[in-house]
Amino acid sequence: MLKDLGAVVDEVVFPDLWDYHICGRVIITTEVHAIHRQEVIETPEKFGYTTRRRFQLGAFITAEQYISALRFRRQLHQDMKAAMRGYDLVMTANQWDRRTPSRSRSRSSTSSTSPRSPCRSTSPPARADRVLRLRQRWLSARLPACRSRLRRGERLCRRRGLRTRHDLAFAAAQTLIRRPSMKLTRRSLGRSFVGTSALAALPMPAFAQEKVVRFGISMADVPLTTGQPTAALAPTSSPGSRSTIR
Amino acid sequence: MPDLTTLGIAEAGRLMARGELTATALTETFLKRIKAVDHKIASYITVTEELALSAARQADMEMKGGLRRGPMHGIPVALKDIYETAGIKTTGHSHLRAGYVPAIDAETVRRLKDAGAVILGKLGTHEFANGAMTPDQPFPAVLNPWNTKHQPGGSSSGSGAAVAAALCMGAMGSDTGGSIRNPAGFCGTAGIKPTYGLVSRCGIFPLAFSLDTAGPMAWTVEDCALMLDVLAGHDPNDQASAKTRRSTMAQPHNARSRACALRSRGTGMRARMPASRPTPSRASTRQCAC
Repeated sequence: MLKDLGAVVDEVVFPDLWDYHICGRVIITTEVHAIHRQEVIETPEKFGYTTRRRFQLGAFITAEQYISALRFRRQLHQDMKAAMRGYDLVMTANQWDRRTPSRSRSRSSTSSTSPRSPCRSTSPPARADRVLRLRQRWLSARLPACRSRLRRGERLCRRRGLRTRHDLAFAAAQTLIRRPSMKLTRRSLGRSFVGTSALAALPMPAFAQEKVVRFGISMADVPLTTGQPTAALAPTSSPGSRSTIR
Repeated sequence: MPDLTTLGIAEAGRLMARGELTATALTETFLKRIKAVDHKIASYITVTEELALSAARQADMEMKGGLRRGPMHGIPVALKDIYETAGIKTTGHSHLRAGYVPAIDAETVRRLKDAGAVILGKLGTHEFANGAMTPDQPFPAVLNPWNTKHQPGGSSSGSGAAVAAALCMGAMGSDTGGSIRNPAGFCGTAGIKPTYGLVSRCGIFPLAFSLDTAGPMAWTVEDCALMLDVLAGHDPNDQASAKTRRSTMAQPHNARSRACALRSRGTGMRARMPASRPTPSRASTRQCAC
């Protein structure tokens, strides 16, 4: 239609929409947690269900990941400017997936849809090459490897089903009982939880699933959740441990 | 004269400048329509009827006395409920701010009032503009006026729905991750997500400091440009506000100059909807929606 009207139409390849989505979610989640941190801790029940979960997630984004996301945003910004150079108008898919009917009666968010990437409109070889380079850049930017962990998390959840966070707390306590000398740090928890043997023994809680799916953060962060029952973990935590992060 | 709710901001401004339309009549028409229609889509949280009528009467008096503040003078607009308004409840669509009444206006609200705009009320949104609507929030979810079984997008859901249902001539939204663009697309209206720093965010509930923007939503791009012309400008109270002189910043957004520039160059592009989907009008919106 645009060609019929006399416009000169070219195809432009933008960075993958998913990159924008993930980068934006990391930044927004971190900043919104900083803004509402006190309320999330003191009166979490006053938030809506999805709002609360989203605002709590920011507690698990590290400063390094946040700064990396800011740097990655700058790179995306430069790529966008380069792609738009020389054109008066750029049209791109910015459409959420097919679940548009309102689900306001359901417990879940009405916005739990996934973005549709504009790269799907490009030829398969170009898209594959683009995705490969973007993944390489993503890793070099030291952001969470969202894609791979996303798939891993999905597979994991599908296999194990969803459990409550209390299941994980119980399992964490069991792990600590077996290894009483282990300090309760995020790194050590990461080793124990993400390691293959522990992974096979532990259930996958719904809360951890969301984090893995959204940000690719390991399950190690789960016991440090705001509002997480810490009674089982308290006896073994050292004064300087990161379990006191609030 | 056509139904007043189908007028655009530019057209209504021209009529008021010629003395063929009063702000009071325009405001009363919209208030009647809100009473008649809004319960079907729940776009308004608070309707400030008395304040709106008072502001409209003042605008009429000023215009009658020869004071014409600009194209927004006497135009009824509404605000997303994260914009702080002096003496008017600002909830952010959350239980946490259910009783919050700010003492002063947000900078954008102040600019709109200075330009003579009439504030009709506060519009529904997603809680703290975070982009997720759940039934456990204090106000009902806004529905899409084209089809109430569909969602209107978000988080400026009330702004998009109210403009599409002709419940205000323009509305203020905010965009952090698509919160103006999505509802504008879902509801078939125009919306501008301004460049970061162009419009002050002082007095608006923040979501993410490094991404938040505030912008207008209206029925046409020209109406959005007229609103943006009022809103754009440096604000020392917003650290991210661009330190550009207002005149140069607002110039590209001047709707009339932009239209004249297009005409003078003799180039441009007209886009139309495919033949299978007839171009909707405001009147048809009203028929199909409510």
